[in-house]
Amino acid sequence: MKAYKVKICGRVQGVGFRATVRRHALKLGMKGYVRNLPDGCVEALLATDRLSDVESLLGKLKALRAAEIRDVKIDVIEMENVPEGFEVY
Amino acid sequence: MFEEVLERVEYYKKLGVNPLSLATGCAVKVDLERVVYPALRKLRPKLEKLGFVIAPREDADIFPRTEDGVEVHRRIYALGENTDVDPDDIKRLRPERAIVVIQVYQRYAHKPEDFARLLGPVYERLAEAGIPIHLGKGHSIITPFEEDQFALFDFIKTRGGKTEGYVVANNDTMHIIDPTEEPGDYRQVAGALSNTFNDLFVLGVHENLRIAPVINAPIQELKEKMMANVKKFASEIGARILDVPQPVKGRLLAGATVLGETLKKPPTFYDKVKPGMKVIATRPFGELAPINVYVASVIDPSVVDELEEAGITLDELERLKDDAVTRISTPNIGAARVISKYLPDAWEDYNPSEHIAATTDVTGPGVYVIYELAQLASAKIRLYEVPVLYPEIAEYAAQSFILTNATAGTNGAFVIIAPDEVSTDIVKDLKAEGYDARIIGEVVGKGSPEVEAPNDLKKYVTDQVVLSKFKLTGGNA
Repeated sequence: MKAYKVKICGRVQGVGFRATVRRHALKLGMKGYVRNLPDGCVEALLATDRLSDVESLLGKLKALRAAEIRDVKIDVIEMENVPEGFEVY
Repeated sequence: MFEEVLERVEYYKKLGVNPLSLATGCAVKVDLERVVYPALRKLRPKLEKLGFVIAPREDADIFPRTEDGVEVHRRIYALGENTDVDPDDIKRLRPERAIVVIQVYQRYAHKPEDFARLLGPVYERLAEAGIPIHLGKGHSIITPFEEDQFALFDFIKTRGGKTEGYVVANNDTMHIIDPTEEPGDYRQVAGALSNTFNDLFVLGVHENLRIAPVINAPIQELKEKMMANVKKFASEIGARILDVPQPVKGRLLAGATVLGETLKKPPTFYDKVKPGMKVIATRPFGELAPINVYVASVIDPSVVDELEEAGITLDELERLKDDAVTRISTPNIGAARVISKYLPDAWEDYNPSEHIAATTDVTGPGVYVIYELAQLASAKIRLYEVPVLYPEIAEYAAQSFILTNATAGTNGAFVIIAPDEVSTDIVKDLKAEGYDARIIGEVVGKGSPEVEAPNDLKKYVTDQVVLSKFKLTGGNA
């Protein structure tokens, strides 16, 4: 299955970011995970075929009150094993 | 409004707590299934050889009450190889039991081997004293600051005399109840302590209550204010505060080891649960939903838009959040008095037409606790309804994945399984104590556990693991 690995940098840790990624991803019917990275960024794996859903999610994240997104990197990957749900690590 | 809340969030961050990263309720805990139990399994053979008994997972530690009472001695140790446990001190104390809080740096909180490496030396040094100690209740929380790690042991020693009745002990800690209010607000400490007492109250234990507080804050003035709130809470429920040492450094933390006594048998008669018995809820479930939705609305403007579309104003949400915080910070001692009334005396046998058979409190797993009760009792339960406190908010919280189980609670309602003959009297007594109590179901069979619930439960629970435990049928939740 196709998935998007998204790395989001800026003020994205300690601002309720991961919970919000999970919430919107689940609403869009995505499976995957989101986790904090040691470099202060956040990485999300979004299992979906639709780039438009990924963009819609990013749009929601850009509006968060305490967060500030400075950089977004999106990689398309092929996954053999799709995660069961959407985990926050 | 949001600016004010976000300013408060910044203040909490200075106190070492980030309300935006926390699930409401207890302090962030070390995962029991993935970390704590595997770590204890590693340590258990060695410890048991040294005389330690690690109790199975229980909500509270229940042990025989002796006439001359118990002593509580607190010791706070460093974790790991440099632990400062003094075996000679333990030889002098000669405790029989211990209630433990472990605060562990987040880096060591995710793998059993890391956790065991920190905990092992503490237990090994304690075991050098050669005193068999029953570890009755443990509670492990995570800190983002390595220097804040500690192992807090409340050693319990019975003084002797005639054995009659039971002592029940429990511990719990929280960082924060309502992130939109000041940490010195009375309801923050009252919520933490009410939640800790809930595991006693659900067993009908409400006499000779004692509090060994666990209070910490990086600002002395705040610590003193929180301690003053502990005193106020204690006077409200007639509890005595035990003079115990507190962690000397660290961030915001509120909780306690609490003890109570009873001359009744606790309602753990799971084998007596039988078809025809009624399932009673002391009040509807789900006090966490409005708090979590409120915090989500502070973070994410799209929540505010969605709420407005659902016809819920921010003022209404704020009012419900406030109501939920009040419920969390109100001790369920009235329900304890009622439960106690329907229990056998310690020297009496269980009577299947008079006595409550089993109870549980609705905590983080929400309605799932009824399935756990069905497991313990090997019973089939039919729920007529799953009452929720704030149906619109609960439905929104679950359907928008803010809280996938919007029946979750902190200092939550009690679920009681009681004989049909006394069930209406129990509800009447609970109402007289101010509870919105009702019969929500009945036991319909014995055997492999099963809980039948109205289909509308899906409105309030979107966690598929939880839902899969229920047999959903037509009708409203």
